[in-house]
Amino acid sequence: MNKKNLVAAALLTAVMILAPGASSLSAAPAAQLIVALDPDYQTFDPALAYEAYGQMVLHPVYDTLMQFEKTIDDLKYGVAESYAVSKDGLSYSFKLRKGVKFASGNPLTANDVKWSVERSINLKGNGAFLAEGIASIEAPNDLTVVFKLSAQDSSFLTKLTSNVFSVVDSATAMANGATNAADAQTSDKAKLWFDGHSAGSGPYTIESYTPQVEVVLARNPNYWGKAPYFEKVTLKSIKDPGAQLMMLQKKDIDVAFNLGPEQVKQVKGKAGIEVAKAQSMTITFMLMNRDPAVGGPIANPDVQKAIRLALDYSGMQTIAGEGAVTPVAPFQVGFFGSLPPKNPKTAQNVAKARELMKKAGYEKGFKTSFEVSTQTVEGMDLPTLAQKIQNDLKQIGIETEIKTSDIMVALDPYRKGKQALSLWYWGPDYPDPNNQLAFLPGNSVGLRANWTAAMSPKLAALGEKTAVEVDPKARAADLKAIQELMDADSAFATLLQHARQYAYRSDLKGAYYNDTYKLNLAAISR
Amino acid sequence: MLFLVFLVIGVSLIVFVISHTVPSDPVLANLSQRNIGNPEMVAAFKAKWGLDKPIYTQYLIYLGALLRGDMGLSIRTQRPVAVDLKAYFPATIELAVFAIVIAVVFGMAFGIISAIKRNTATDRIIRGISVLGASVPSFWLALMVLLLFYVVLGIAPGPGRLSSRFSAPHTVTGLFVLDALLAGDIPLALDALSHLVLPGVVLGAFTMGLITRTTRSSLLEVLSMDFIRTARAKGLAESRVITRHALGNALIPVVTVVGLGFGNLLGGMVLVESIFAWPGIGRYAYQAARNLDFPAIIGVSILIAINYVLINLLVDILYGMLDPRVRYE
Repeated sequence: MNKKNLVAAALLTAVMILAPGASSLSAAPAAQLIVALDPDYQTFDPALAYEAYGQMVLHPVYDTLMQFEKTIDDLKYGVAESYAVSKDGLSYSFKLRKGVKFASGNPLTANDVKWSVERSINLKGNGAFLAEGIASIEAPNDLTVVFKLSAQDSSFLTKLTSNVFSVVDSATAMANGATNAADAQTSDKAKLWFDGHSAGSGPYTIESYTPQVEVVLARNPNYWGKAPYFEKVTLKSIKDPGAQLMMLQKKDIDVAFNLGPEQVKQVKGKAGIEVAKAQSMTITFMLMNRDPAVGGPIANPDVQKAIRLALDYSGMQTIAGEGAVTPVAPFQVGFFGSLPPKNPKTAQNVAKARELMKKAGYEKGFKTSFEVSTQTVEGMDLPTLAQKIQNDLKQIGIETEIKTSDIMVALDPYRKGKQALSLWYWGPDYPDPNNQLAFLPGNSVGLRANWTAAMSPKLAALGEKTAVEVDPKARAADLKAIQELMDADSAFATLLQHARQYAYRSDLKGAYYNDTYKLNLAAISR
Repeated sequence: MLFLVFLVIGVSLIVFVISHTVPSDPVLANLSQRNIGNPEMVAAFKAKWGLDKPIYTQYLIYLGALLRGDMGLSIRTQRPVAVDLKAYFPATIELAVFAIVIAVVFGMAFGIISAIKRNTATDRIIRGISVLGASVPSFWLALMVLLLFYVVLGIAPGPGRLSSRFSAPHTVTGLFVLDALLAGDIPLALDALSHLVLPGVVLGAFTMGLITRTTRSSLLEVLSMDFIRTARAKGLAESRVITRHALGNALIPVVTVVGLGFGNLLGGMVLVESIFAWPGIGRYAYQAARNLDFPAIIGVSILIAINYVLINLLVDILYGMLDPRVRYE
């Protein structure tokens, strides 16, 4: 064979090898929805799953008593059709919908609800704390379940939307090694089974799960509600946002969920692709230590206020990407009782910041360390933001030395309150402003800044009252007062509430964002 | 065999000590922020994973299980580490084999041509390509080849091991091409093969660069020897001189480079795996490290160590085949 024939043969072989894969472009079945994401789920056991994307899979597979329709202030009934609360706020009685069946065909009863929640409590997974306030669960009949709480909890109904409260087909689960016994942490053997199977009553079932590759959901023929449009939903693990973007452009996927600001710019306005923008509940904030032994000059409340005034929020929002806002306090915009975001143009007042520094006795400024983990938050690099802040603080004389470290290393001093000035982010554990009470003086995050209740007794007391306030009007007023107080005096500077941008093929409908379950897969159609 | 046992003990001890001395805590890595503040939950977590025991006790317990063939449970996935490795390693093997074949075929071809055409334009171009291959960052190259061949030209498939319309073949070896062929599913086998090309080229580029340069320099050295002059003087065609007389003698250093390159590929390449959505050992190891998943970290380390031992053994056998002067007792 001469050289030319050899080259021709090689090229032909290359085309023959590549062609089958290339020709599969856009060949996914019409009845299949393909979503690309960079997932963090480690299990699909509803009692144990507690990762951000876990609920995306579990929401269409398992029903809960309450659920969010679209936004997180749009609480609706799930598998419950009504509820009643006792006057003392300690007893919640739910009536279940009639005729609901699990995917197995077994009827969904109050006993399944009781069993499921008890299993979640006893397995002691990362989400079990959501059920901490439950003293007992009773199922007086097949369609009634009663929760008795040990203390009033104004966020109880919201908590019930979590996958930790998923209603599981107890018969199927027990047949596969699950138990709700008190020693479930050691005796339950169903975790691996749940990773590749499901026992729910939602519009989908888990057909298969290949870690690091994909999870496939299949339509549940026994679903009690409106059947979803797609027969199958495949969630593909595609870590790289550039790869997600390319696959969306080639129509190999329908939704690219983890695009950063740079990728969104490339795809905006392109034919056949829509970019969705939604408010995420993730916030980025600065911690300023109130303990002089740790924070030095930073511990001075006037210095902390000066820092908040010196920051260029407009510039930070540009770094975070389109749609980012700055809440007044660490209470996300969109939560019940939240105040409108700060006006970034007027929130900065360098002249006033300098006056406060002078009042605090630091007219000439000072030096401090500034600790930052090397994380990317909603597509934004924290060290990049830290450099911006460093420049802003120079204007009022504060020289910061940025110290970066991996988050696993940074978490320890953060939790122990050993950081003078640091940059962190926070995503709520459940979609309720009670989450954010952790930032108040004397509470878990407040104490990381050594901000004790004694330092701000009025704020601390207001936080305790709000946590148990069941009257919505009174609760809203308390939350407003808390945010205003924290805007005036706080150990934190709330910098950003991030936007979430993702892209999808323009022939899809219903691909709206919800911070709890990200996308309502069952609501999407073509 | 005894050597392997010592190797496993040695690797496990070193990795155990290093992973336990990093300034971080697996409790922080694996429990939610809420539960970290709950002493009862922290105590339960530590008790479950044996982290409440002294470090030497933890190691001895782990070693005892390891010597019985039990690599423990992954703290992150809560599956047996051996099961996880069995799930992810075949993907790495398949890609590594494809990449090394590309590297060897093209690397040696370029090296031979470069040696024959020494100091010509062809030689300079080939040497330039080999330097590029060895120095271009693999993650950049991965994105560029995807952009060019997948997006712009549309002649190659996208990330992943298979196209969306295919399901994985029934698992026999975990190597999709082979399993598909065993199942008699030719379209599936071809699809799996086509998905190997781009990541294989990217991963093979670095080793190809090294093989090219090693082949060239080794061949040039052999070509300058007396017996080659004799072969030419006998009137043998140049191609025969190269293939029958020179190449075999030039291969020993090449085999060394191939062995090292293959061992490196079998350790997984997390960036390329991430871009091509390849579920290999690299990403698993990265996530294990991020979560301070000690059993998984040690499991991956032992696997990589064993890979290198086996590859070195293979290389030694090849030495003996290539050079009759090399004999092992």
